[in-house]
Amino acid sequence: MIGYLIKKLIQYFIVFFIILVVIFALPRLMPGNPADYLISSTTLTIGETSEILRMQLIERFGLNKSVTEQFMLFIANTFSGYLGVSWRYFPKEVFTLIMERLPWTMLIVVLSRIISLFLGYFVGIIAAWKRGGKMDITLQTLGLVSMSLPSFWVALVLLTIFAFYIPIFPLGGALEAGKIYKSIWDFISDALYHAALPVITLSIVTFFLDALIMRNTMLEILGEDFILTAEAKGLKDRTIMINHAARNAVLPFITGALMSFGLLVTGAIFVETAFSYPGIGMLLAESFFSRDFPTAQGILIITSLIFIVSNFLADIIYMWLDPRIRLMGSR
Amino acid sequence: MEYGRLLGKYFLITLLASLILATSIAPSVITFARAEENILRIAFDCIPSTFNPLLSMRDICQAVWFGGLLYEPLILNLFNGSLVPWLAKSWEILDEGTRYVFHIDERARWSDGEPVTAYDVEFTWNLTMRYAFPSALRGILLEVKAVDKYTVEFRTSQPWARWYSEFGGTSVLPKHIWEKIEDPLSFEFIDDPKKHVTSSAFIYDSFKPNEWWFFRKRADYWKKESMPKIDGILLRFVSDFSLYPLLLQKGDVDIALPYPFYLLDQVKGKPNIGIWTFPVPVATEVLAVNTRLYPLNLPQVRQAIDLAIDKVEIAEKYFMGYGMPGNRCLVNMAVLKELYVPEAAWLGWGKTKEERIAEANRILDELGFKKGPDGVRVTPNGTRLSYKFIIQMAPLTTVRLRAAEAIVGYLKEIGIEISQYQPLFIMDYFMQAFLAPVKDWGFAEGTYGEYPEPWYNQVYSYLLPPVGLPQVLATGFDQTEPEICELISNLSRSALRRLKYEELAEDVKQIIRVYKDYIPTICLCFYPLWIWVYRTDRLTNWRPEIATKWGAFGYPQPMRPLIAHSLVPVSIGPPTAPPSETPPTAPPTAPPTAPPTAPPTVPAIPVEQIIIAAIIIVIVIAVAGYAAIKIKRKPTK
Amino acid sequence: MLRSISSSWKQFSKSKLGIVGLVIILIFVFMAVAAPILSPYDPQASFIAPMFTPPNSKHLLGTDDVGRDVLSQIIYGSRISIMVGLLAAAVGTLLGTIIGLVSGYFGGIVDDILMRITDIFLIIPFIPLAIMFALYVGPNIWNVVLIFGFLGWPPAARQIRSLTLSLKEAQFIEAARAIGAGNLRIVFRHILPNTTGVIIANVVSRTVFAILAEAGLAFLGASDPRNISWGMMIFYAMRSGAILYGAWWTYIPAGFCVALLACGFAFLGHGITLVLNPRLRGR
Repeated sequence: MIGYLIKKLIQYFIVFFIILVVIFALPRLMPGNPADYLISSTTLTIGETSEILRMQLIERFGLNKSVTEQFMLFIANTFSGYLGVSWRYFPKEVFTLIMERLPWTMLIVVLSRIISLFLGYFVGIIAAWKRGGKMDITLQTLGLVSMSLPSFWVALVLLTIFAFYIPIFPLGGALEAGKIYKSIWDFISDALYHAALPVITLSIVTFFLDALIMRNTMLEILGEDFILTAEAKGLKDRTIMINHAARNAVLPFITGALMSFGLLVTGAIFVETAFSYPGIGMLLAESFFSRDFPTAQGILIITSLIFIVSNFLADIIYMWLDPRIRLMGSR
Repeated sequence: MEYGRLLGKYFLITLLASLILATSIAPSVITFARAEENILRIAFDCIPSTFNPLLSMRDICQAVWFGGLLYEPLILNLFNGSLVPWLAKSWEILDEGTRYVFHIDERARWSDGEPVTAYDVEFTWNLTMRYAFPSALRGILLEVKAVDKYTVEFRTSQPWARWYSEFGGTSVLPKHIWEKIEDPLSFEFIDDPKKHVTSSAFIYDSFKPNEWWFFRKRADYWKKESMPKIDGILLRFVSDFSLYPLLLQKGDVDIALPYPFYLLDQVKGKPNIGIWTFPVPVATEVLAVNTRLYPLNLPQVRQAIDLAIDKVEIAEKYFMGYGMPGNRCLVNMAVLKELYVPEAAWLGWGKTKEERIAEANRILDELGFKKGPDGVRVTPNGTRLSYKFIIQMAPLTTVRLRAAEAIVGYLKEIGIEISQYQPLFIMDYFMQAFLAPVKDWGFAEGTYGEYPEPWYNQVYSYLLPPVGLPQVLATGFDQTEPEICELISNLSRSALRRLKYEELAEDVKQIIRVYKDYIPTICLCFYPLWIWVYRTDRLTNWRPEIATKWGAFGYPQPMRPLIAHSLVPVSIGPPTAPPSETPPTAPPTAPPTAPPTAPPTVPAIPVEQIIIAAIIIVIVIAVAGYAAIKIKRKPTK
Repeated sequence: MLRSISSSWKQFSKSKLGIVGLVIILIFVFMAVAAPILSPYDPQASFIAPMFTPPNSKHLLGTDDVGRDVLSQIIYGSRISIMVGLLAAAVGTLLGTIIGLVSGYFGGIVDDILMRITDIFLIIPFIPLAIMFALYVGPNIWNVVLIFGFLGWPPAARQIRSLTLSLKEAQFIEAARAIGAGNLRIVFRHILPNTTGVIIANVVSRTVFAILAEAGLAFLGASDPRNISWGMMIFYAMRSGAILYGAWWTYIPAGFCVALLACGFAFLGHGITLVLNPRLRGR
């Protein structure tokens, strides 16, 4: 069992390392040298260039070293958590910047995943059970539709209707600007209030797909022998559905959910931008807009890491919950 | 029994749903705590990275918003041109303008009780000259010396027209604090308000990183006649301009700056909202032409381009009527009538669009540049008139992007093609437009000249390097027309020596007369950059036109009129009796209250992030546990 | 050959969704091709009416922040979406097909290595990389195409590979080899034609993603403003405060078109999959 995990861990580590290589190589393959930009934008003043500052920066970021040395430096820095300094928010470190924004993204992603998965769970079960029925067909169609909906458009539609015309929800942001909270509940409620529309948007976009996946998983299980046995035993439909089929479907469902988690973090970029919601998605959009290379690079690294970690977690949970693998692994 | 399980499943969902529903309704009941009635709340649009004034040239945010609060200058420069004694109670200009002597007000004190002396001024300038010497002053400012405890002298190599803003207007730092610091460039107190020692009426009190910064009034402020009537100033960062109208209307802020003109329609006519625009549009929208590229080095080509651009449409349509059409120099002659040179007006006035385009085409035809089958002109030696166009993005993003698209269209009509169109953020833009060793662009559009004196635009632009970032760096004009550039440069230097405005105006007019025939930088339009929108029910008795300028850019500071009692008494609250010149004997209308009760000044751990992370972890554990329990229980049959 | 096409079409036409998708796409293609005739105004002519004019009889979808007719922009915008979407998907699928064929046919170490590489590229998040790309190269509509070339091939590679693997063992391949046909010939004459279905299905389904990606990147400002694109319209709308003005016509219709076009391709893809996969056709 442990052996299996360790093998997986090594695989993921290699993948991560290669991603770092790609990320490192990319700017250096591009025309123009971002290193120049680094020097110029951090020493640039309207009219001033301080030679001392310039030399210090070259030293500090190792821009006068060879490519291999730069790469070593890059790897060493990344693994020790130093992802560079943001140019837009100079001299704030990229890592700090990302860590400040990450919880907000996590909040809306986690909340929307939970809602989407729970609802998808039930709807998927019912659709599978009544295969070919109205609900099933509607679900399939809506699944296709939701796959082709641009998330920022859904966000803007909801924003226009529910924040502008019928002002129930705020127009954007994570918290009310400059508000001073009297208690922690005050803070939580404001945070949730501002998170509501982004969460609803994300849920709408992912819900149908989750339900579809659940439905397909259920269908596979329903085709299996032990269901036939249960039917033969004369158990009621609903009992079979809940106790036998659904329970076994949770496993792949959850692991799939964990894996899509990483995707959603990057998918949230559009929703966050539409709502001006200060998560890492919005940070990425901002860093693009303000040409902040280090931050964009840092976000790329972090999102890859999140994706890898969630894959790994999915593997662990899958293994823990599925006795078959556990038995297999211990031999 | 199964119903129990079903209920269990649905329970969680209902719980979540009701939680979300409840919290979405709840906040409308909670109101913003307004303990701080007597505090001025200003919304602004950037996050300062440092409060170290030596780094203010690098951090425009700090220079613009906080410089006026952190420290005090020797003289206050008012926008209407008058000078008000501040740390310096009087001054003289001696030796034909090469010696500027300031006498320090003996009452002046630092917040820790130490007196402000001439040694502080001398020390400040030694630091400045060593670490942050403004390039315009190189070779001009020779020495700053403290003659005695309350007299300080600035010695220059020539008279300097901007002495009042540069010598008189720069902050004075406390020597006894700063001399102890080993590396002044790394001294930082933005995250540690206790380190702030100042002579100013407001002292840095508390902050919330990336959100707000609060300055509290000092009861022991030395300039008693200018004791502020408000208790503090709260500067709030608002990330998005489009929130300004909302915040103002809701009354969450008292002033929102800088208010972008394209959002003015949303607050005009709304109750309790006042708008004030400076009489002189402060910014110039320019199109720099890279004269290093043939045939852009030919003045006739640039004249043709100048004619083809519809400056009236840009000002009236793209700048929504808030702009004034440009001319053939870099100064708004329509407003600054003393600088009016009739020959430098835009040649497109009075002509229809067809006439202008026809004439521009004619000029280019006469040069022998034939239009190819695709409409793009080619020179006799085969050069195609196809160029890269870089555009400065912020501020004014959409407006500028749209205007740039229009310019692409105008150029197309006279046979000039834009091969690559690249909007760049401000740092990138400066790098490519001014600093890059090789400039591969043909046209660069940006904002130029937000200097305190509108004439400075014209004078500063073509001073030869290494002076700062003048347009000559971008256009390469010194390489393509070295004699003309030398002439303009000399005229500029002569202008900067004039201590009398009339003489200076004559020099500037001379520059304009030369410039108009070459226009290496084309003037597109003038527009208002510093618009103040404020709550009239909160800021009463306030006359923003007596605002002051501060720093190299002269961005007017709303703070000064508030604290300068001798200028304009200001109150926050219902209008009181007409302003008087004597200090108020009665106590202020509202009892002085404590500054906003807020979390600890320097949160070492970001509280919010921890709470959110905790919520997430709890939710995830609950769900995981629930799922695990459900799965573990296999049917026992 | 013709018979198989007509029988495929018969199968395809049974799927309602597939037909709907095809119709939608054809409408947009018509819009793109006939744009100069259809659009009432020049989409780039500014200030032909005041900015943010609501929809009226002269401007069916009103005007945007610089007084341009929104309907004309939408009609012309279809060109970019279709062109970039299809091209990007085609590039990705082409690369994926090549890799899949090589990997599936030769098997062994080649297969192992290529599959590992595929795994890695699947983990790299698409949008952040696309943004970084746009950062370095500059705003350009071809960015999406290039990035698809770089990152968009794994799904096609996987599918083609598994198909190749199963085809490899088929009898007619054995026969061909017995006659002495070379590898290249086998791949091109025998395997490739049998994968056309999968290839087409792949292109169509990736087009959905490509359209959304192009719109998304344009929404963030990564597209060239000289070409009219639906995503770019929304970008400008947001930046100029359309939401606060209540000028919904500047962004809602544009996004709706993106959704509709992508939907069209999604339905079409669904229809094609039904043809390829009889099992899914229902009880």
